[in-house]
Amino acid sequence: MAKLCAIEYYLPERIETNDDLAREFPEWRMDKIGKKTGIYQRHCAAADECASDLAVYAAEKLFLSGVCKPEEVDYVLFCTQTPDYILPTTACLIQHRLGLRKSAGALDFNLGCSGYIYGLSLAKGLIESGQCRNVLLLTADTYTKLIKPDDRSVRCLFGDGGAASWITADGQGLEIGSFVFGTDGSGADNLIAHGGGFRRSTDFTQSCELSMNGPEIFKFALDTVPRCVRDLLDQEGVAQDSIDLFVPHQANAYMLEYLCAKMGIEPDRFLVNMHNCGNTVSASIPIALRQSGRFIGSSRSIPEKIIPIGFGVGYSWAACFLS
Amino acid sequence: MTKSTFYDIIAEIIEEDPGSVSGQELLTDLEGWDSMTVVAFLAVMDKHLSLAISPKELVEAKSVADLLELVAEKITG
Repeated sequence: MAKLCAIEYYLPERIETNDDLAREFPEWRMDKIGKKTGIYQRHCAAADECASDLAVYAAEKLFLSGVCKPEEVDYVLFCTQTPDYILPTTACLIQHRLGLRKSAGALDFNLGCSGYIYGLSLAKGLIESGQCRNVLLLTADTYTKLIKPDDRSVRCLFGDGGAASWITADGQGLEIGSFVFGTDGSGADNLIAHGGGFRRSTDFTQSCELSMNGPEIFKFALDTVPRCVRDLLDQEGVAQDSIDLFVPHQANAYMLEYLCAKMGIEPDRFLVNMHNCGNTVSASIPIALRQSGRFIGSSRSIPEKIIPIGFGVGYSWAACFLS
Repeated sequence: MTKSTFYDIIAEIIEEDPGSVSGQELLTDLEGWDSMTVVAFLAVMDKHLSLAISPKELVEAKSVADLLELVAEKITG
């Protein structure tokens, strides 16, 4: 049985507060924006700092905590949409930097806000099919590098961050249960960075700016998340009331509070925790869970049944059952 | 939902007093109308009217009257 045993995360040093944005955009009511988004500051990677750096720092924290050692890693999965290079695979660079065994497997996968759940799924598959025992799942992104400086409505949402999760066949942790997946590529244009790929042009000097259609993404989330959770509950044969904690991707507080009300879940069972780091894409679920103090290693009572839900760019979504 | 309730919901979204929206305004005239309030409008209409509004049509709306048109089927007077 694959178990999620530990999570560590790293946020870059530089912080951009809403006051910083208010100075840059004096006509914008930043006090209101913070109240609505639930985001008061974001961490931004330095010019020479990549998603892989954030992932490596998070993994080093995991090793320092004593929960696992680099030589125990059988497989490293790296989820990012901001890799170091087109090639080679960033996970290969990470294997070397972390001093992982040369007999370890390593691969990147490209997903955004749903990526953490897909990573748990891949890790479970690797472990339960007997291919390996210990998986290091790294999820990190530096979306702030994709945002146009004058795009204030996106700048106030996204922050950079990286998380490292330790998933093993043995040990104390949350057992990874069943999954529900979903994909709808018809929504691709609503959250997209055109540059850096081969569809539009092979001129890599072209813009790599993030373009987001907020209302479309919001509608997608309203339609998709409640259905995804319902399908998972049906599949597991458990009642919504028996779930101790729902951990949605931390998109923005307004959206999450609305989803929570729409699904009829009490706010204390629906984790909203992004005030200090914004939307950190595929790192948002493990960061929120770790920061909340409601995970292994915390002094607070640990929830027994958790449902994390990822949704966003793609469109792609997934949820799973942890117990 | 009546028109006046609808106007009061718009006022609430932009954090103005009830009665402050008359239905004649252009959205550019409403100080608090921005990308977040567009999203709030979607959410509130979903909640109060169980109405899934097309985000494309919503973004194209120029006036409060255009917003009313989007929910016309649910307005009773």
